[in-house]
Amino acid sequence: MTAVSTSGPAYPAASSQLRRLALPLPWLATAALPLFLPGYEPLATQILVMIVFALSLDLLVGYAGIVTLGHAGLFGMGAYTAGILSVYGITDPLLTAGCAMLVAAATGLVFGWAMLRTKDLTLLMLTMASAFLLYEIANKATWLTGGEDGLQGVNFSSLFGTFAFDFRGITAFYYSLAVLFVVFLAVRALIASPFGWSLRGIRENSARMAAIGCPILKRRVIVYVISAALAGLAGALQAQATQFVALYSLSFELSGNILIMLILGGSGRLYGAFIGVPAFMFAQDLLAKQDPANWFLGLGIILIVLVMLAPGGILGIAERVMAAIRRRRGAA
Amino acid sequence: MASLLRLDGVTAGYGQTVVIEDISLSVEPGGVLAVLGRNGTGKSTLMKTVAGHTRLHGGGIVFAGENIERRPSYIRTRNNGIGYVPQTRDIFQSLTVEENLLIATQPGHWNLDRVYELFPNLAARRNNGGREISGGEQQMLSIGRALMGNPRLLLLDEPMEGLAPVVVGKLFEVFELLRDRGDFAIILVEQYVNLALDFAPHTIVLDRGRVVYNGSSSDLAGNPEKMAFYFGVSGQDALAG
Repeated sequence: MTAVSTSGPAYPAASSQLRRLALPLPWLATAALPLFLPGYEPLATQILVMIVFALSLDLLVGYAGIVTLGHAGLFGMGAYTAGILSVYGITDPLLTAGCAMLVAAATGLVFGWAMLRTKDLTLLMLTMASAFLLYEIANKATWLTGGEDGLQGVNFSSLFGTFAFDFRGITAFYYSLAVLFVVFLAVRALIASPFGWSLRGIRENSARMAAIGCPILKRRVIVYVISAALAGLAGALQAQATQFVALYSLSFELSGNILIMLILGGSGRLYGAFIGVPAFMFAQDLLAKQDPANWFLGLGIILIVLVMLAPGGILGIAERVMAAIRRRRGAA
Repeated sequence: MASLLRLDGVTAGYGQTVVIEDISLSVEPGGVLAVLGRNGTGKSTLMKTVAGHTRLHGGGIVFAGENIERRPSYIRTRNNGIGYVPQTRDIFQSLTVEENLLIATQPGHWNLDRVYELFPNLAARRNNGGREISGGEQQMLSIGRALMGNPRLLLLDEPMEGLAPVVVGKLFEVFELLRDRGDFAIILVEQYVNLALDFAPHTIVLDRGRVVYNGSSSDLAGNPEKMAFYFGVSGQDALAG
């Protein structure tokens, strides 16, 4: 072997048949959640929204090899777009979500076009700076965003004019689940397309991709814009589900958290987002109960152990266990 | 006939370092050129310079009537331009064999079926990952991937390096087939001097980054003194190993 192996599973997927069989089950189980765990819809919605956000990040980190510490900037652009529109009377959830995607995509285009000429540490710093920039603008423009107090008066009309965003959060839950499902199918189709292969090629060896005729910068900007649109959609969902937009949605903390969630689950694996987000949220919940002041310490330790011992995240561990079982079966 | 590729006094290298100096050569459409020389004389740098992966310090490169020396490598490859099979093969390990091929598709004679026909090994391993194939298969895949781009010029940089003799024989048969089809020109860098001289009618020899021989392969092969001078004690033995 000449080249260095990169993150991402051996291909074809080790357990493709199993995955195909198992695919509908988690969706159905999740859809049935309000029956079994009434009262947990808002938390579940939070998780679904974050999975959409993490999926958008996985396109960059896991497939295109663009590591960003500013992804919340795009999430926040979506959240504020939807929120501000609703304050000014445009309250249709789907329309505002669409606008949020457009605004986030346009932001991604501008920043991506400027930043993606660089790579590695420079790029990481620029992504961070881009989010700081947006954060400070939102912080200062209190007349528009409410600044530190958050955006007040956010109120969305009923979904399809029928399903109001109710107190229990049932509508928000099913709405988020449906959006996540569509985003999941779209991302899955994207990464299995020639465009998706070219992203993995660029991550592995961009000079080689250029040598077979692939315009690297253009592809990187395109995937950044797609990812930005999805992050903006997640932001809009957040605004609609909580009927509120806070500065946190643009913050460095959120950028960091979503990256941690993705790495925890396993980047470049499509399902990493589905594992990492709930794992992070439950860990956060458990640890915060133990020590509300210093729960980040516990999370940090978990993360260090995971990154040191299992670079592929939780899914990476699962893949290795499956591979070991298969080897043993093969040997027997 | 107007030449397909022409280098006029090309000086190039990496960063400030100059590796090849004042190189001039030309290749006709469908022509075949061997580039020979000892290790470290700039053969691979010459190939990379044509493909657009080095820093050009001077001179001009004309391909199909257009100056391409300022163009980035992906533009040189597009529109059935230059196909480059690097020494390092550079298979995308996270893609399957088939995806490695399809990713490079450009319209033309060569498509997935024809590449599989040329390399049945690849057809058998089409769903294997890029890291799950042998060295010979990696080389076939790297060549197949370049063919998928339907280039007008194919650069082969030491394609036989590190391969078992039986695989070398097989690959050379393929190269002869491609040469005889004549739908693209070939520049071959090779350490198997005699195979290369036999394969290409025209040869250039590099020494310390400069062209020291530019002429007919048979003339060179028939001149033991020159062979010894350029390639060491006895041409093929010293370099075939």
